[in-house]
Amino acid sequence: MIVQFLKDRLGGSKPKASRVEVMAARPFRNPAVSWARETRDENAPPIALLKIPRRKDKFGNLMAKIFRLPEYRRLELDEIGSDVWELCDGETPVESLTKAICDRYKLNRRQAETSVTAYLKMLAERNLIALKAGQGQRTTDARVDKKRKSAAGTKRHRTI
Amino acid sequence: MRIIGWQGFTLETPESCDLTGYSGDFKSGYFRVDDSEELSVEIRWGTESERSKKEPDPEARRDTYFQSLQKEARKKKLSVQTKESDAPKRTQRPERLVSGFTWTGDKKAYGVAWYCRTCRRMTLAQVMGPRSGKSGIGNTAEAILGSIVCHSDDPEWRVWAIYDLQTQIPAEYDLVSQQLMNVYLRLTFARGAARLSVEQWSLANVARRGAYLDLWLAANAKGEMRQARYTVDETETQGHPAIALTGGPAFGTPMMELMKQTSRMQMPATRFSAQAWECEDSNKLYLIEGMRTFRGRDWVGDVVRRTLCHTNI
Repeated sequence: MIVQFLKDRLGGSKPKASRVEVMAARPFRNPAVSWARETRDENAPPIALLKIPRRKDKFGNLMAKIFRLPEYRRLELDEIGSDVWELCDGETPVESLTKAICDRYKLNRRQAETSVTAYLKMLAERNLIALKAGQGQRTTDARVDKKRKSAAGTKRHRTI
Repeated sequence: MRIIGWQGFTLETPESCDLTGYSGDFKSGYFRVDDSEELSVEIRWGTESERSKKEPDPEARRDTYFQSLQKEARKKKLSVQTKESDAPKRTQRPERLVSGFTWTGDKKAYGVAWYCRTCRRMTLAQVMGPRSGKSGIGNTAEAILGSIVCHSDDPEWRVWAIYDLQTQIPAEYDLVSQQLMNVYLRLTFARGAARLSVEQWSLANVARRGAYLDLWLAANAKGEMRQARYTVDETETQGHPAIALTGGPAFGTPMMELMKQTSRMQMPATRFSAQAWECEDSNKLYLIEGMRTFRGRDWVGDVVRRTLCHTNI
């Protein structure tokens, strides 16, 4: 019981989502992050350029003062990353997103699923996106909830 | 249906299945194919020595497997019910001694053990799926088990088919190394000092982005091409513009390797040839490359003709 309590307090027990739950989830972009597609290379399609606001809490403000941090950090996504980012609209489930990437880049389902889920995980870890539970599923788990809250309020954002 | 080809075995599985585990070589080994949910196929095999006169008994093999299953179940504190059963009709072939079985534990499995007189391999294949559910795996299992072939009709060639790569390699070459990544596959085969590699890259349009194919390959290939100096010619492969590379080992480490081969009393592999092309229909890049001895046959052209790119999509 004590071990479980400590695990919960320290965030050691992370709830695991099944593949079905993950595929039905709908990723959405952090509203605090502004973005636009820009052409960097004439031969390549426009890529997504993200503007990520810095932390605005006391610690963030202090660090910004000391190190003269800019208000925003810029992040360039690659071609496939830009397509995934654009599809993170809160409406498209991961399954459809994967299918769209499959069709666009002629990948097989497994290849696309592996790449897209790894990429979404990376974006979520950086608080750039969060996942909504799919329709007809049980309520979102604590981790997802935490990310959703984090994505909704600018105060909680951490810079990358 | 998807074709899986590994170490001389070929089988037809549902489209969602792919290779997820492997070990061993042509003589004895194991591989596993999974779909993303609950269906999985396992094949284990061992080769009978040519000296042994008595044909091995698949029923004995099955019983040994039952014993190991029971032992494992006891460790996990599960109960397993094993049962002998008739092998599916399509698995019963004139060159095979066959014995069927099923078991039920935390999963339900349908399996067959057989000994093939042609390739002298004792094989144990099983299809596992959920224990219950509205759609049982019986029919799927029968179809998969019936489709398993343990030796190719053409004894000179073996089918290798994993993920989106489907090719045929001369039977005298054995798999020595492989790299199976999400968007990059490499299979390297060897026979003595001779080497033969097949490399495939997905997302060709993103990866190459208009670069010259030979320059792109020089920077990205991981097979024999890294160890060769060569000249480049333009050619055509399966309707795609391609490049053909011919040459020999590069100076430095590859030359040292030649000396090692000579010191091992092996005929050194001194001839390099390769063909590469981009298939726009499947958005993939292919590189077939080989290093062979002076008198050795150049298999690259034949392997290229037997490699499917856009035709299977």
